[in-house]
Amino acid sequence: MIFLMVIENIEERNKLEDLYVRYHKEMYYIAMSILNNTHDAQDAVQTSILKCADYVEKIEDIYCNKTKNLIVTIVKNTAIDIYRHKKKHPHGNLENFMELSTYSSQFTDDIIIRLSEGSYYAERLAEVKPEYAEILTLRYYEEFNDMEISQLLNISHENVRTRLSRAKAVLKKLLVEKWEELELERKEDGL
Amino acid sequence: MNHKDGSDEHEQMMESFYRYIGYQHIKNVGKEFDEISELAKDIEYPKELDSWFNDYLEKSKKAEMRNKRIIFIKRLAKRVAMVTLVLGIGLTVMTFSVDAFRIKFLNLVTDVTQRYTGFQVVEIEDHEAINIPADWNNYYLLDYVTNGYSFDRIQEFGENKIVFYQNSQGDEIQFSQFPNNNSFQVDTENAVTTEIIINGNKGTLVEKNGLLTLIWYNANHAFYLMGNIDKEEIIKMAESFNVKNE
Repeated sequence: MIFLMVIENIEERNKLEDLYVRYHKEMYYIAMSILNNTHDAQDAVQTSILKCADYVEKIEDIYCNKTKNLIVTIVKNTAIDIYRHKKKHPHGNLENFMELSTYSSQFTDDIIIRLSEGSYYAERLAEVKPEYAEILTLRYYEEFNDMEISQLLNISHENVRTRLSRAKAVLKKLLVEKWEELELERKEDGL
Repeated sequence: MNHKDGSDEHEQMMESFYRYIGYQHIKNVGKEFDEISELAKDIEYPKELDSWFNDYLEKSKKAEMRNKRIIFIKRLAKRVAMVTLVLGIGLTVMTFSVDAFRIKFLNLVTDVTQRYTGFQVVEIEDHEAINIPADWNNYYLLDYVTNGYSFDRIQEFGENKIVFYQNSQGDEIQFSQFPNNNSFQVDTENAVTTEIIINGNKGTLVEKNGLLTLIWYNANHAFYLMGNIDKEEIIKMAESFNVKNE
């Protein structure tokens, strides 16, 4: 049925065409790097383009980083879904990557001031689990709602909330680790 | 209360931080994407995907055109329905209020088939001798009746009025009249039909097995006259029709 979904708005169709012309090779490259199979990669690209068609009205500039992130997110998740389907790997609990601790609000209040290190935390979060950086970005920077994220990533609403909650917890843990590291350095320096 | 305010403030700060992390993540992805673009430049891209995408765009265009056509047809149908309604009402009003139009319209309708022809009847008689019902208005009678026949009886079916004449052998002549909004059929299969003018009104004479039927119209009524009599006599009787009680 998904192949019957078509864009009937000429502006959106032209935008999707521009998107395809500009990024079709990148999409195929990302799909191939995950699936390592031309047929599966083609399936992933087709499905990704149809998913992009659903969000094309939200794309303001096809060359901006937001659009690139959307394409990477869609293609990567679609390819991973195909891979799992082929390997008959159930989704399982994707969120058990690391032990999570609970941190008091007061504690994170003290260290959240270190915004200048945002790039570092974004990288670290993506290293720990790329899906966490991805979902925080989709929710707070791209401003997709839970339903849109659920469709985009092909996961349940509950999984969206769980993943988001764990992404925040991991980020807080990274913040605490960094803060402890800096405190230790400060003590060593005798400050 | 203060604790709640502090909690809200903390949550807002965290959301700003998450947004900032999102911004940084997108910057990182953008950089990685540019690297991917470099790597993907020389990748062998399957032509099937290009064909599929072109087909997809074509389907989209066709779907758009189809929807536009459907919308256009719906709009057109509404307009046609409205025009038809207005025309229908207009024609009806013209047909039943303007004599010239009504006659043409009725002539057209009564042009019928090979087997049947539409017609209408009238009778005449010495109206003094006929016992006319008190509720008859604007009816027609024949001032001339062929020799040997005399008034026998009247029959009334709705708006259709029939006067019967009879001779001593029991042969009958019928003169029928009814308003123009009625219709009827006459058996003209293997019959000889002749166009006749009755007092300036178009009529048809049908001869079949010795039985003559003369049908004609005026502005308000249709008439038929039917009997086993001579052609000249039936025409003469028809030409003597006159409106009464007007």
